[in-house]
Amino acid sequence: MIRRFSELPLNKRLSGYIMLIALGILLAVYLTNYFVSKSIILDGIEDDSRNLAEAKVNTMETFMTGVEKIPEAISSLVKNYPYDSARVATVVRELLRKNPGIFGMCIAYEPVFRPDSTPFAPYFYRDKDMISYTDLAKDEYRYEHWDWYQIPYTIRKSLWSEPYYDKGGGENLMITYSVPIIDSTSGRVFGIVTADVDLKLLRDIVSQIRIKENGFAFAISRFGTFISHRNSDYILNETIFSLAESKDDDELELLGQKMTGGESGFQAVVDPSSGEDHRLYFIPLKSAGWSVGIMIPETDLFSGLYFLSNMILLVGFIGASILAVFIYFVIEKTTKPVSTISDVVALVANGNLKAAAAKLQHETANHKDVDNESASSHDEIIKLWHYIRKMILDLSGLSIRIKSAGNYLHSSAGTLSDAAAFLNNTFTEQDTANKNVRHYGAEIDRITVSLVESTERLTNSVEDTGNLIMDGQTNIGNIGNSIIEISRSTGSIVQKLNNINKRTANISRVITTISNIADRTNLISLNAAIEAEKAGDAGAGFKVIADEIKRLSENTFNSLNEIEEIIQDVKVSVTDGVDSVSRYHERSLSGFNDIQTMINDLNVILEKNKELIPQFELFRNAMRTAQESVAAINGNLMAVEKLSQETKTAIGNLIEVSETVNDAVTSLEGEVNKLITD
Amino acid sequence: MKPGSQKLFRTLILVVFTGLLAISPAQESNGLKKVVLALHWQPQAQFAGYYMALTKGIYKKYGLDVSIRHTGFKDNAIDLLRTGSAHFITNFLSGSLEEYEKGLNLRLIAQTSRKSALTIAGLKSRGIKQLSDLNNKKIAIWQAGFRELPQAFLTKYGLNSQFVPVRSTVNLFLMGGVDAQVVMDYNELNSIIFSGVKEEDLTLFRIAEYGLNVPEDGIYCSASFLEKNKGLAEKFVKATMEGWIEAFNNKEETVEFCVDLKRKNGLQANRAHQMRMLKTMEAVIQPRNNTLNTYLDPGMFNLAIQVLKDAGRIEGNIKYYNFYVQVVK
Repeated sequence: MIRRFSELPLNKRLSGYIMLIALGILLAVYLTNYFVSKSIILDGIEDDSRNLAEAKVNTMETFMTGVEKIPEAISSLVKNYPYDSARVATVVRELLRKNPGIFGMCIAYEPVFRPDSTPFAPYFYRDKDMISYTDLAKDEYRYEHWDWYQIPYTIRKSLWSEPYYDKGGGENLMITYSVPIIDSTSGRVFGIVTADVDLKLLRDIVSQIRIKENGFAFAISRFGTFISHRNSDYILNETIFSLAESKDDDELELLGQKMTGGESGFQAVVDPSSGEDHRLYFIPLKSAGWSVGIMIPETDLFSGLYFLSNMILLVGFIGASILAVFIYFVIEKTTKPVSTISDVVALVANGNLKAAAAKLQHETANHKDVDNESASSHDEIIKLWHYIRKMILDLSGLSIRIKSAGNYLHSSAGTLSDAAAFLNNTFTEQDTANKNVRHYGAEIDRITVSLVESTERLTNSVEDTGNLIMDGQTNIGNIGNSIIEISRSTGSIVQKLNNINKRTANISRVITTISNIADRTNLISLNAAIEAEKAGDAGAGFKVIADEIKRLSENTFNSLNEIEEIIQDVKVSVTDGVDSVSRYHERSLSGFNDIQTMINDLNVILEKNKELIPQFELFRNAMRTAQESVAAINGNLMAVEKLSQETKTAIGNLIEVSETVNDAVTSLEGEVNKLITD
Repeated sequence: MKPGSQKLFRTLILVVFTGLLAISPAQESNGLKKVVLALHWQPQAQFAGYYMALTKGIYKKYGLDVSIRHTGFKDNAIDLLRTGSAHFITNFLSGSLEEYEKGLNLRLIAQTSRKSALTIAGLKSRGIKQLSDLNNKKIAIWQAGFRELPQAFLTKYGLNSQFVPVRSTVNLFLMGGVDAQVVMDYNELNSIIFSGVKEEDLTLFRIAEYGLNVPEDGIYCSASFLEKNKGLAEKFVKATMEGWIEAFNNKEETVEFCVDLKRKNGLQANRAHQMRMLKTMEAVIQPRNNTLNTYLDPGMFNLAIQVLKDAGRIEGNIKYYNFYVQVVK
């Protein structure tokens, strides 16, 4: 079973802590040693690699500066003898022969400056042990487009080319130093003088650099192309930037920027071909714009450091383990009495005072030294032992006293409990009485309410009836007035109808007059017709008029007859109307007298009704007073009830307390019994 | 030998060689038709589809025994077609139109490139920030040719710049000898970047984005050859299309092959550069659903004619159906 560290016995914990501290110190020593040593080694290797790189780069610079001098000298020569190409060629050949470090040399003329404007580029180069010649102006070469010609020509500066394979020329991997021949008067470029260096020669210098067991050097051109590297696949194929992209390595790209930027530095780097951690020192080769780097594998650098660190770890760990075992035993011996005390105290804590006293007695017999010493001892553990023994004895005495106090408490609690029970009964009875009183009160209240409601309804009915009667009186009065008004109107109608009768008699007279006129018109038309007949054709027109007048008089007769008939009808109707209206006028007058009698009767009823209302009001007020009294009684009863409820709760609490006291005393008795020694 | 007689001798050789090919345009051996393909530049991932069609036996599957020739500095693919030394060649559309008008009776049978990769790159640090900055400046360009489109670009935007022919490196540009350089997105641009120049330090004028999107690579053969070997041409184009898909689907393997091939040919090569090139070719060729579109869009054709006419490089009397023959539908 796994136990938590904090649950382990004291001796194991103490030795564990000491072991941990020892290991911590060991780790600190290890790390300090590791980092300080590493820093010392790195400082050393940085110095070593810098010295080595500087020495090699200086060698190369010296060599290249030497090479540069030769085309520069030829350039001056050509400037003075521009067109004597044969003689210049001899000089070039001789210079090449005497400078084994140079692979080939050329004077490439700008065609316009040749007498016949033809391109010309005499080139001497090493071919095994011989010096060969070719003219680079040949069609398949076209020197004017090659970097070694075009760049110095365009930028008008001497410079080393990027490494290239001179296909069709020297047929070799090389770099070329080109010097433009600039005419001092016109400022135009006559041509380019070159000196080639076999790339292998420079690569050998770089690749021969050795440091530590597996350290190596490499070189990149001004645009990052690998010129020399342990991995031959890189050479002229990869640039540091293409490699960074292939390996997806941003650090490498950054390094490339620093190296091609002409910086020098020392830094950690991952070798892209092996993937191993290296330290790199890099330095520029200024003449060619290259950068030379020295790579030292970290495994080479730090193998001694790793061995030393491992030894420190091993020795330290063994030492710490021995220390831990030793400490374990020493602590165990020292803390033995403490573990006995711990057992005794555990028994006391569990309430087993009897067993604790017995164990203490037994162990004291085994540890004579403890028994002989006293509280005056300087050993803390012996002091502790002494005081624990004293404490157990004191505890025994105390527990006996507690037991007797418990008994007394027990009997008091019983008395208290009885008193509470009695009180409780009394209250139950009172409660019942209260409930009865409240019941009757509620009954009275209910009846009173019902009576008041009935009285109110009755009063309202009486008032409503009075109002209705008054409304009836007003309405009947109105009817009487209307009848008088109608009676007056009918009298006026009769008079107007009589007037109409008179007017119709006048109309009859007018009709008679018109009828006479029509008779005479008819006669005239008859005479006119006879006269027209006599006149013959001349009277034809007049006859038409006479006919028309005759027809008019006939129509007038017809109309007059119709009017007379209508007037006769009007006369009959008006006479009937006058009779009807006269009869209606008499009947309405008799109705008015009946209504007058009815109004007088209603007035009598109204007076009687008004006398009833104050009687009802008196009765209702008496009922309301009765109701309020019942409500007041009920309120008082509720207050009494609430008080009695609170008293009852208090009694309940009292009973509970007395029971708790009783239980506590019983429990105390049990505990005290356990504690008491015989 | 005097220069004059040397030239005569060379011509004689050419005539004899041409005659031989003319007699048997595509010889047969082991049941396979022997054909020669001339590519218009040195070995690189720009031609990965042809390499994959060859090495993965796709040409063989179509009954073809293809041998590939690379050209560049000393010769060019057009000349090999002219002399009959090659049955099929790859070439730029613009250059081919010029040759056609000059009288070379060639036929475009597959327009593999869909988008121009021509770009003019200038360094911001040297003041090249916008189009007008190129005026009166020196711009490096291939000595080997391919300058029709860049010239048309300068003419179109009224730029009075001077082209400086360079061999194949970007060193003159990097050394400050010129202010800008015409590059292919998939090739020289990578060379500049892998020389330590950051892409954000460059100003790139992509010619395709300046109304001159005349795509480059296509497959050509002579009219007479096509007339007699239409089926063969169809097989060749189909196999090449499959080769490209193979290349795009197996980039690591293809790049490995290209790097090896370049190194075997004595050329400098690294994986990062060839991988970038292959990826750019994928963007230029634009394969869809595992196949290539090799149709010469008439709009594309008309634009090319217009651009070359405007630049005064051709008269423009070229009929679409005379120049282009669709062999794969």
